[in-house]
Amino acid sequence: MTAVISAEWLKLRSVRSTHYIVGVAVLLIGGAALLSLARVTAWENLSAATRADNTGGGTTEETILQFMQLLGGIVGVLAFTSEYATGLIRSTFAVMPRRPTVLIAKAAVVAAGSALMATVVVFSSYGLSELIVGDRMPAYEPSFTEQLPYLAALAGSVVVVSLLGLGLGAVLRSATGAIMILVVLIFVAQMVLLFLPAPWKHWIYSALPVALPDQLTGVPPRTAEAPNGSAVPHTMLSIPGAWAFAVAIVVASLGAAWAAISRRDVK
Amino acid sequence: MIEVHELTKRYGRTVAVDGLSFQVRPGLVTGFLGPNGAGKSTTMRMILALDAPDSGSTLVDGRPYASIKRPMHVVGALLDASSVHPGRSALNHLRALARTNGIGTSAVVAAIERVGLAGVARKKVGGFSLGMKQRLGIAAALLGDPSVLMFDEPVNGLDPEGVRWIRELMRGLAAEGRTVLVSSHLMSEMQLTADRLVIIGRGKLIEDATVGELTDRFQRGVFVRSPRLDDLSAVLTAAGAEVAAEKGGLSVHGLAVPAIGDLAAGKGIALHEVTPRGASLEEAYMQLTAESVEYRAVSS
Repeated sequence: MTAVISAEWLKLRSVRSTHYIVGVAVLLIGGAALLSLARVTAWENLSAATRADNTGGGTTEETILQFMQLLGGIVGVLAFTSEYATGLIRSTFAVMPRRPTVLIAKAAVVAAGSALMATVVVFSSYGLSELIVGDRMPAYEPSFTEQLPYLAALAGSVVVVSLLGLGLGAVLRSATGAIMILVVLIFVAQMVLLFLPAPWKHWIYSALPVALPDQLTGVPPRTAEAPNGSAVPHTMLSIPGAWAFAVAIVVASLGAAWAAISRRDVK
Repeated sequence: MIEVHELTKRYGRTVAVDGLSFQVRPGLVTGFLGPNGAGKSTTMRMILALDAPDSGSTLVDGRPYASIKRPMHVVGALLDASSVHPGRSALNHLRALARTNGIGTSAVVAAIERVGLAGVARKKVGGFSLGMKQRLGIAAALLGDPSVLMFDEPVNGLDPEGVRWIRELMRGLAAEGRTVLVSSHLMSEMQLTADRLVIIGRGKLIEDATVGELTDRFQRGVFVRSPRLDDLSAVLTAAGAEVAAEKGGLSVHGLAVPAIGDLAAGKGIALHEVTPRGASLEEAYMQLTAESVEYRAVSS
């Protein structure tokens, strides 16, 4: 198993798409720093009365969460689709006929890789934001130790999405299709939900990747009203519920991948 | 040793492989011949457990392929040379494959040198010509020093020097006692490389014989010229041969060249020409597979 994992790790780091993803992740850190700067500048330009009525909004790390999730998801998708697209999968399964071993090795590498990437991005974004904002804005007050579980949950949600991507890639064998689904889940679904009636929109929202970190760490539902007066979708799951759900996503994704690669011929 | 037993594979209503049985023995190059669509690649994929047969089974060195723990040490296969990630270097491609079977980098470097790709080992495979990719695929097959080798159409896209190199490589591997199965749709190539031929058409076994047996079977008689054709004809007919007159000579069936010579000498008949006329294996192959060609151009 370690031999197959080390082979998969070599595959992951020896292609350009991985390098691009790492590049975008680094850009994301820079973007987060600029965003913090822009926010604190805007905040300080508000009148004292407006500031008193507002919290200053969320932290920068959660603003870039969805982009991190997409990057992690793409890492997962490409693990199988790049092999199906090039035909390399034939060699992969020929030299390792016990295909579930390949799946487990890919899952380990994708999870470790996206965890590493997300941790670096989340923690450096947090550090830079603290450096730039300091105590100039109320939302940035949580100390590192207070914020640590939440930062970990942000990174953890990226790992969950990366394994979801792995499963989608194995089942669909097409990067385009799998990434489309990820984009819908991560970015698009949220907007469509606004037009659904409660409680549907809240439950569906709770199942989206973006809602995972709040629910995993028990952040109270962030209720707000949309311009039309209806409630903006908010989280519903308890902490244990959220953990069970995250595990269920991973199990379902890897299970579907397992079934797909075990049954199908590799042409 | 590769054993194929009653192998059948259907894709929807098409039967790709139909009750196919044959054995591939060690120490020989076995040519796996058939027209396009005959089921050669499908059979090879089933031997490698990539495709599941609908019925029948295959064994490699006595065991099902899927039960082999580190198969690169037992079987080396080149299926489709283009099946590589174009963005990965040749070295990394081979290292990734090698690692799964616990094969170290020194063996990878040795394989790269053996196929003559040392100069481009760190170049991306996407920039390789088809011939270079074939060499890369062969390096991958050789990595684990396996006793069984399978090559699917290895000479496609190769220049004459590359074709010759592969031919010698395969003969060398067989001479070392390995089992070598090589598929092709070109008899002319197999004639030069293979010791045995397994010919299939529409998924069924048409012929399983040595190259020599096939050549003999498709022998088309001996052409003889002599100043005393009538006498010669009588002698040969008396000896049991079928004789037919052809312009300037006789076409003789049923007697080999030495027998004809001896009979003529016995009667003091001079011979001016004795030419055995074997059908080329190419023609034999065309005859054998004529019934089973799946895609045929309409001749006007």
